[in-house]
Amino acid sequence: MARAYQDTAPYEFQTFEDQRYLDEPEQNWWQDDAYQRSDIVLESHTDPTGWRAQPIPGAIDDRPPAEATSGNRLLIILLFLAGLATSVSLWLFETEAGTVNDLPTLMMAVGRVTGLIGGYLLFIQLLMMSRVSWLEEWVGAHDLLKWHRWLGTSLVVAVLTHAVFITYGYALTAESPVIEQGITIITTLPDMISATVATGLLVFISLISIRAAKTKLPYELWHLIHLSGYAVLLLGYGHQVATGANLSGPFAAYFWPGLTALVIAALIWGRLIEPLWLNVRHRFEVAEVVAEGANTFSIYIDGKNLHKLNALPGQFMRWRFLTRNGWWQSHPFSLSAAPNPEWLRLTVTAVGGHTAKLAEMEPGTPVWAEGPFGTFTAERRTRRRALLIAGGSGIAPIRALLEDMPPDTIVIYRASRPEELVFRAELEELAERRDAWVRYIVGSRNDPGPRRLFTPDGLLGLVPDVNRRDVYLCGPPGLVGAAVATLRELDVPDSQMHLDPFEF
Amino acid sequence: MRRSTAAAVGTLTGAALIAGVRLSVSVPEQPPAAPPAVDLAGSGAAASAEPTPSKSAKSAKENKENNENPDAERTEEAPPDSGLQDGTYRGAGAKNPYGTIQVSIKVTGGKIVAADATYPTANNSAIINPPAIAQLKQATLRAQSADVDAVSGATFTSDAYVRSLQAALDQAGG
Repeated sequence: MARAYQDTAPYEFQTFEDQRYLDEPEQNWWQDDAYQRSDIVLESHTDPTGWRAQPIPGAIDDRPPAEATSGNRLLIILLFLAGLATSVSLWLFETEAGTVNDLPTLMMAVGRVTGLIGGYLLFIQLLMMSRVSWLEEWVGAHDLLKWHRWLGTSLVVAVLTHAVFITYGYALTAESPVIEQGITIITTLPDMISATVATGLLVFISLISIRAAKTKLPYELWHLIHLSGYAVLLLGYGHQVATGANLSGPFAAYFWPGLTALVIAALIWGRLIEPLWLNVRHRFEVAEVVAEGANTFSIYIDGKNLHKLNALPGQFMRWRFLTRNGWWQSHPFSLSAAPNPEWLRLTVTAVGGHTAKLAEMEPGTPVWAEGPFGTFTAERRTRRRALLIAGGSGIAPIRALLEDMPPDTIVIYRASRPEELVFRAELEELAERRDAWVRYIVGSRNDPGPRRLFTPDGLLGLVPDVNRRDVYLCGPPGLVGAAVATLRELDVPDSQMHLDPFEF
Repeated sequence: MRRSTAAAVGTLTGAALIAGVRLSVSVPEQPPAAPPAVDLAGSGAAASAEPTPSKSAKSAKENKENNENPDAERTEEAPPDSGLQDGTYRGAGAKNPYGTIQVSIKVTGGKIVAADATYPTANNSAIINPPAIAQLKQATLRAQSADVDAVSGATFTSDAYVRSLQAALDQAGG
C-alpha cells in the first residue's frame, strides 16, 4: 500500500469552510474561492467612517468559534467549588454556634472539616482521571492532569490533618495518650482498619508521585501503583459513612452516596465502556510505518468506520500496540494529520528503546486505542488569526492543526538541526493551500537566530500582530516555558494561549 | 457554553446545593436523637416532661438544675428492704464529653429489677452507645450495685453511666 501523503488521491484536503457549506448548492463563484473573506463596502450615512461593510452573501464566516465553549471550564470550576462548599457546609450547618469553644472541640472541628474536604477531593481526583469524554472535551486532558497534581497534594494534607486532629481531639477529651487513643479508634470504630490501609496507600501513592521518585520508577510500574487509588476510594468509603459525624444527615445521606455513584459510574464509563466501544467499532491496526526524518517515523493506522471517529486535528489518543513485548505500554501520541476516512497518522520521534521498537512493527499489528483527548483544537480559537509554534517533534499536532486554521496563519517551526525538520513538503503545500506562512528556525539554542526567537523584539519581528492571534504551542517544556514568558511580555492574554506540552 | 451562562449555572447550582444542606438540617434535630425518655414506672406524663439530655450547653444547664432537686424523680414510696426502697429512681444526669447519660432503675423487693438509660446518639455515639449501654444494663442487674465494669471502647459512656447509676442508688437507699 503506497501511503505517502501526496499519493492519497481519494483524500483531498477539505477546508472546514467547504464542509460547512456543502449542503447549500445555490452558492456559486465564491464556493470555489476558499479564501474569500472580504466585504462589499457601501456608503453609509450613520457610520463615522462613512462606509458600511456588507458581507458578501455566502462568504465564509470566520468568526472565531471559541465563544460557544468559552464557559465550559468555568462551569466545571464553579461546580467543583460548589461541591466543596457543600461538603464543608455539611459540617457548618450541623454545628451549633458556641459548641466549638475549647481545644478538644476545636481539634475535632478541624478534623471533621478536613475529613469532609479530603473525602470530597478524593472523589474529584478520581473523577478527573476517569477519562470520561465530556470532561475531556470541556476541560482537556492537560488541564485535568495539572489540576490532578495540585489537588493531589491538598488531598494528602487534608487526609493526614483529619487523622491527626481527630485522634488528638479524642485523646484530649478522653485524657488518654494520643497513640493509645489512635489504636483504640482504629480497633474499635467500624471500618477504621480499612480506612487506615487507605490512608497508608494514599501516602504511598503521593510519595512515589513526587517528581524525584517518579522519574526513578518505570512509568508502567508507577502507573500500576497509582491505579490503587481506586482501592483508596473503596477502603475509605466505609468509615466515612459509618462514623462520619456529618454524613448521616438527610442531605448528606443522598449527597455523599450520590457523589460516590457518580465517580464510579464515570470511571466505568470512561475507562471501560468508551474504550471498549471505540475499539470494537474501529478495530484499529497498523497499516504502514514510514520513515520521515533522522529518527522520526510515521505510523499509519487503519480501521473500520473511520469516518465515524470523532477526532479533531490537534487531539491525541492513547495507543497500545499489541505486539509481543509492547502490549503493556500505552503511548499518548498526537494525530499528525487531520483524521480522515482512510487512515489516521501518528508521528513518533524515537527517544528510547521502546519507541524505537515501534518502527519495526509489521503492518496488521492490532492496536488498542483510547481517546481522542485534548482541547488543543481549532475549536478553541478566540481570534480570527493564529500563530502555531512547534518545537522538535511537537510539529505533529501543529501539522494537523494547520489543516483547520484560518488563512493568514503563521507557523514557527523550531528544530536544532536541518535534518530534524520533518513534513517540509506537506507543510509548504498546506501553507500554499491555506494561505499560511511557515518559518523555520534552525540551530542550537545558543545560535543567534534561535536566541532571538523568544525575545519580544524577535517574536514581534516575525509576527507583528502577535497579541491579536491565538497562539498554539507544542514542544518540549523548555521551549514552551520560554515562549510563554515572551508571549506574556508581549501582552498576549492567557485565554489566547493554547498549550500542549509533552508531559504525560 | 458561553461564559455568562456558565457563571449563572455554576453559581445557581452551588447556591441550590448549599441551600439544600441548610434546609435539610434546619429541621430541628434537637436533642440529638436521644432514645425515648425512660419510663419504667409507666407514668408517661411525668417522664416525658423530663428535659432530654443534649450536648448543647443550654440543655446541660437544665440537667444541672435537675441535679439540684433529684428527689422530684421519686414516683413511689415503698417500705425499706435490703437497703433499697421499692420504686423507680432516676439518677442525676452525668456528663461526659459526648453528652449526658441518665440512668433510671426500678427497685422491687429490694432488688434492682430493671435499668434503663438515656444517652447521646449523635455522631459516633450512635455506634458506640447502644451496645455499650445494653451491656452496662446487663451488668447492673448482675452486680446489683454501681460496681459495674467499664465497657471497652466506651470508657466515657461507662464512667458517666456508673456515676448516674450511683446517684439513682443513693436515692433508692435514702
